[in-house]
Amino acid sequence: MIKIENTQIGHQQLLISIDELKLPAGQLYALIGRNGSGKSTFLHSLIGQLPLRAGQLSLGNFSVQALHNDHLLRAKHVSFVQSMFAGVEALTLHAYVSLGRLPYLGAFGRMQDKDLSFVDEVLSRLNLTSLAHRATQNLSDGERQLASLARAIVQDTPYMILDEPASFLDYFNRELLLDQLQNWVQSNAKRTAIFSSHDIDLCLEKGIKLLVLHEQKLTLLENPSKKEVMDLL
Amino acid sequence: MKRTSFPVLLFMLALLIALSSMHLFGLQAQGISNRIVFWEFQIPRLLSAVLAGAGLSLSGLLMQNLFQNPMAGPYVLGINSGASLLISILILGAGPSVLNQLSYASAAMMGAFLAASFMFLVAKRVQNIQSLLVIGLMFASFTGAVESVLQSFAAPEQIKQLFIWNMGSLQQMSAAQAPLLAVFVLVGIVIALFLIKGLNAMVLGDAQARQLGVKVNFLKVSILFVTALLAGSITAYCGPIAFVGLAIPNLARAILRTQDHLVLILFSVLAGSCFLVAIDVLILLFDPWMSIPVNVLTAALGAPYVAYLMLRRR
Amino acid sequence: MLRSPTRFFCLCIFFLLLGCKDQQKLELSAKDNLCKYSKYLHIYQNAKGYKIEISNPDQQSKVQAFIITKPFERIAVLSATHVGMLSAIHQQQKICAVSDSKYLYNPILKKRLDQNLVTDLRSELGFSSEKVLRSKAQVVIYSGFGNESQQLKRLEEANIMSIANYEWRENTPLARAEWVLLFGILSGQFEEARQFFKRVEGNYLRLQKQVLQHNHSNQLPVLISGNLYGDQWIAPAGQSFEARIYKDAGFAYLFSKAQGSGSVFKSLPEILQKGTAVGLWLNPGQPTRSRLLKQYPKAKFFPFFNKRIFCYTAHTNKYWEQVAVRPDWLLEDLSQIALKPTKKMHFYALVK
Repeated sequence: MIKIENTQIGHQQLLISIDELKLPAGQLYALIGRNGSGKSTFLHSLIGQLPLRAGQLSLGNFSVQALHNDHLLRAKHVSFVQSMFAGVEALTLHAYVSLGRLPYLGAFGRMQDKDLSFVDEVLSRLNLTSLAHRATQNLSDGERQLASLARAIVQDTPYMILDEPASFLDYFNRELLLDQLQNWVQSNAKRTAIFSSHDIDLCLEKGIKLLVLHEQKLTLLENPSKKEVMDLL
Repeated sequence: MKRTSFPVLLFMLALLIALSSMHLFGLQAQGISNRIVFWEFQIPRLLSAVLAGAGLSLSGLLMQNLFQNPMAGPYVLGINSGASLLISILILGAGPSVLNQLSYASAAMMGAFLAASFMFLVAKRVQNIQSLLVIGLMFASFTGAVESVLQSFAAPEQIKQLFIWNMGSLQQMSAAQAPLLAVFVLVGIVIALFLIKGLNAMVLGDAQARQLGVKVNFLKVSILFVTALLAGSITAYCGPIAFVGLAIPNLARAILRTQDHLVLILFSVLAGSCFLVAIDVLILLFDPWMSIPVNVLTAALGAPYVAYLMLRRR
Repeated sequence: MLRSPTRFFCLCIFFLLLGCKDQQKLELSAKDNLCKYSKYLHIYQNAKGYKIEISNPDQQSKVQAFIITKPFERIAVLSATHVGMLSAIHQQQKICAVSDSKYLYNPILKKRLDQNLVTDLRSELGFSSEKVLRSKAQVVIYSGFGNESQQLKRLEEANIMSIANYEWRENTPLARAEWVLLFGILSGQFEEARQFFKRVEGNYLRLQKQVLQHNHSNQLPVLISGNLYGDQWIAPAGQSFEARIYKDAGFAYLFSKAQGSGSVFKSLPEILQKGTAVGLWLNPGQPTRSRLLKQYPKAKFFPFFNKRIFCYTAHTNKYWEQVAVRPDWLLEDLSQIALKPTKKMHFYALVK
């Protein structure tokens, strides 16, 4: 459960102000908002990267401040998928996805057999097995986006935050991504995922709950009609 | 560790042993086989090459990780210049009675650490690699200028000593200094091995590394510390040696196609040693006809490779 | 190239020499040359004055030729040897400017420097031509490196003559010393210079003969010279002035067969290998063994470290100032070293 109380979010200027909002666990939420409405800022606040201007925000048992102060705790508690991953020279897709296991590894960063089989399983779920040994800087943007999702799944945290994870994906892969995310939250009642998106139609079609960001407010809509959403925006 | 990396590492180890025995027997072939010459000249010279090669390429690998830039290295970023500056202050400024070998090493390490920290702060402000390299160059010529000013007050004796040190050499280290340098380099390697997790995450950048649970600030200070320990102590005993730190880690990534720093550290250490020992074997081979300074050969082999890397990045 | 008047003048003379070869041969035949030993300095005397020819060791065709009819009163010198040459014939008061005064030995000149009667031009290569002008020098003498500096060209434009001194390129001790004649002419004391050189020559040849006689009964140790600088042992080459004087002193010099008249560069393994035969080490550049070890701690493992070591470091400035003009003193020192010193030496001292 994500709890937000009397919270003000923003860098120098106030962008979002939330009196009270509770997002129950076991759900997938899509963050919808116009350009510049502060979607990324909100997500960065959720993972404790951007300090709150005021108020309380907690993911399950931990406040974002507590997560900010303990990187290892945060790494096991919330994973983050950034909107763009440019790839790294000589880093294979397999090695990149494996980095998700890092918080659980010993001092020398060695993967155990169970870590490796987990990675292989996630790769095959996302149809990435054939690309496993390609260098990440030689993949397409879309392939890298799927790889980022794989890395977050492998990190095996109760909370997952994704910043426009589908922006480079084609129609089929968008569907795959949403299915995988829904699958991920439903397979464990403690899991919660929030992703930002502009693809309202697909979200409505999949019956995903919408978090609509408009005029410094955040509104939760369950099963809305498209008109309702558009009116808010 | 990828299974393919293991044979490569084994091969590098075998190569190092082969080159080392060539190095020792290369001298022996010239008719020298007395005990003193062996223990006081041949062994320290071989150890200089092995330790300096290992330490410099490891410090290059760490700097490239810290700056998230494959063109970083202890020489191009002016780390050597920092060490050099403090050494020259020591040689030219302090009285000869104060001058002992340990203070040499500690001065060089301090200089290296200050220079590395300075360059790191600068790197936060400039984003592109060209500006950073130019600033490294400026920093080197600035320390060079300060050294020249200091030299104008110094006795010719001291200037000569500094000049000799500045040329870089694998033959200056004594048998008594060798264990000390070995300890510094080994400590550097061991600390680096304990940083592997963080180093692996750092290739994704600061923010991602933090998300993966890495204490990024602690890691960065550790890298600066290890780099200063390695580059500083080696520079103190062997003078500034160029290109090893820049070229070898790039070679490691190109050959092994990995970002797993356990493999990269082990390979860089072995390949760096092999590189400098091979260069010194060449110097020994050419000895009867001409004597080649070590930096001439590292530059002759390293510079074209680095230039090729720069061109390929475009 | 034709911009400077002196150069132009030189060139004219050169073409003149080409033009009337036969006539020149009559006038300037080898036997009229007043220099007996020097390879690069030629002096001819006639009723009007002295004709001097200085040939460039690197380009034999390049000759600086000039006629001196009137001696100079103010001379700027850029090297310690030039000071030594002028003071040998007691003409140091004519020196109006020197370089690197901190290495000066001559006490009279030092005093004049303190009284601001002499200008310190500081660096030999980086001196300022304005300073030379302000010193009111009539002529500048410099060590020829084959190509003249920009400063000298500017001085020539201001009608200040500059003379290249190639004394340091000669490969016999007496040829080097003979350059004192040039300084005699420039300062108007040719006769005194001639007498002085005759004395030096006489001393040198007498000592050389003594050494030869002595050497029949006495085996002298093998000599090594120089020291390790960085990774290289730098020592005088086989045809250098030093190698020649070692030979004249009766020593077997380790690098006597090394090609060249300048320096040889030897690797450390070679020194360690050949050094086992060495019994005497000259010119390590340090006054004591502890200083040698400070410079290079591994020096204690040189096979000749515990043999006798001599160096001029006790009198470094005196050595560089006077060694060229007093080869007889140098030879005397070396034969003293050969016989175990009994009296005080001119330049050398035992390295303890």
